[in-house]
Amino acid sequence: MKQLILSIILFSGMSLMAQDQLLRNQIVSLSVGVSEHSIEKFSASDKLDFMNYTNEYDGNFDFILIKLAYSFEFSKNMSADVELIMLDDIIPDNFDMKINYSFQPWLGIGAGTMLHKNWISSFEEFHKQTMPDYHLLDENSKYFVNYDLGFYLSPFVQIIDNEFIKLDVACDLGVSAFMKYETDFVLKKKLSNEKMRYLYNTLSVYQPFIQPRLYIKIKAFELKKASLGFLFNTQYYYANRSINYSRSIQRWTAENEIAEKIEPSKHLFTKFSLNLGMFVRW
Amino acid sequence: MIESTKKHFAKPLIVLAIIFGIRLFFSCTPNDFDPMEMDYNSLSTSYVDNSNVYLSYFREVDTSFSEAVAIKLTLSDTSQMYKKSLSAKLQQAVSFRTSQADDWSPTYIPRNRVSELNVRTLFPVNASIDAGDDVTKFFLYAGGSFVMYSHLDKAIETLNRTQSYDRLCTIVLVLAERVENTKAQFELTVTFENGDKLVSTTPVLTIIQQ
Repeated sequence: MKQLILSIILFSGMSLMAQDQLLRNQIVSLSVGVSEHSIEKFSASDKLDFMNYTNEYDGNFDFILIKLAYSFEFSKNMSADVELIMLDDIIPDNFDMKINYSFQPWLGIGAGTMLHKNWISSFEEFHKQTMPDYHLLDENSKYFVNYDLGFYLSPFVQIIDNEFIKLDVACDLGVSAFMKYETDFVLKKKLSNEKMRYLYNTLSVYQPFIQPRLYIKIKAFELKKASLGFLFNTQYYYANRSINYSRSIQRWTAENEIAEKIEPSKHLFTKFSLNLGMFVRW
Repeated sequence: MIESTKKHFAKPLIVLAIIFGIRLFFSCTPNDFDPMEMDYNSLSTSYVDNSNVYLSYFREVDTSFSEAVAIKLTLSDTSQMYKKSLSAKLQQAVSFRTSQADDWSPTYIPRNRVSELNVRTLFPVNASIDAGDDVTKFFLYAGGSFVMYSHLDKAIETLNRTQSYDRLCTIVLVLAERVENTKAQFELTVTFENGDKLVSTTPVLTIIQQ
């Protein structure tokens, strides 16, 4: 067993040494920040609109962000950024990863993927409000984590790149889709035997978004080959989004079912976030 | 003195030891987990309240809202003295209950399987359903609060499956029609695979129009 553990440690050490030779300009950073979500809400119609129940809070900022990032150059013109993002729940289930290609030292393009989550909650209220003649059999508040998976291209420009300050501007252009979710409601008519069941299956439909970003890094100290500094990042997500779904309404029995595909109106969905932190470059 | 005391206690001690030994022996006897066979020989019907959020299985009523008529049907085997249940009870009587290795509850499987369930109304229900009409197709099986109703073949399936704890099966049938009369009464017929029939007439139900 000892030999096995020793072998793993030696192997890992050797692979890290090999990476040292391949990877240049490596940066590890930790930053904290805030994010403000804004979602256009529509008045209730006869069809459930999940976007109306996407969480956003009054006040200046909705969520606290903690970002752990690692970036490195792996060839003369190419680099990669990996960012793990945690919200208030401290679960690292959001990410942003991209590979960049520089045409010129000041101009390039990146291609990436990201996964961000939102919470959709209390959507049983729709049935309570629109069907007052019916009891909701499960009156517990319903919620689900709505993951948004995106793919984008990101042209970027280095406005300032000197020994102390580096300022990049990028603009993500991409598509993202909410991941699938399934839920149902059983309703019973008041003073009656009649039962109804609403089944919702959300669909994963890719919709476009735009996301300008600003990155600032300021070098503060230099220790041998490594340098230490501060970073400031900000980004603004802008999209018109809807959560399309298929809906089945069962009446009395499961066999007596009417199914249809629903495409609710698109909501203006914006997210502004900024974060401050420290980085180490070597 | 000591000798007389020994003689005095020897016999009761031997008897107690024998009883203890018998109980210990039967406590270590494994149970037979196979379901016991039963024969449905009784059918009873009543009305239950289904006007609230959840169906009240144990709340029998004589008055109902016009859209909330629900009939509780109980098929049971009222015969006693089954050899297998008797031997099980005997075994329980002569063993240490707490020392039994497993918690055994009897299960029962009907020998006479239900093949058909029919409902006939004895009062006119509405303009299109007259007294004496077969209203089976308007009744649905209420299997649980959080699931949708099923057609009566599911009810028959429930009656025919292995029953737990007792030699009976209770199901609830709901009427999927509005009763436009002030009274309602139904006749339920359970037909078995061997052709036997059990018939039960519900009490007269007073209807409250909404």
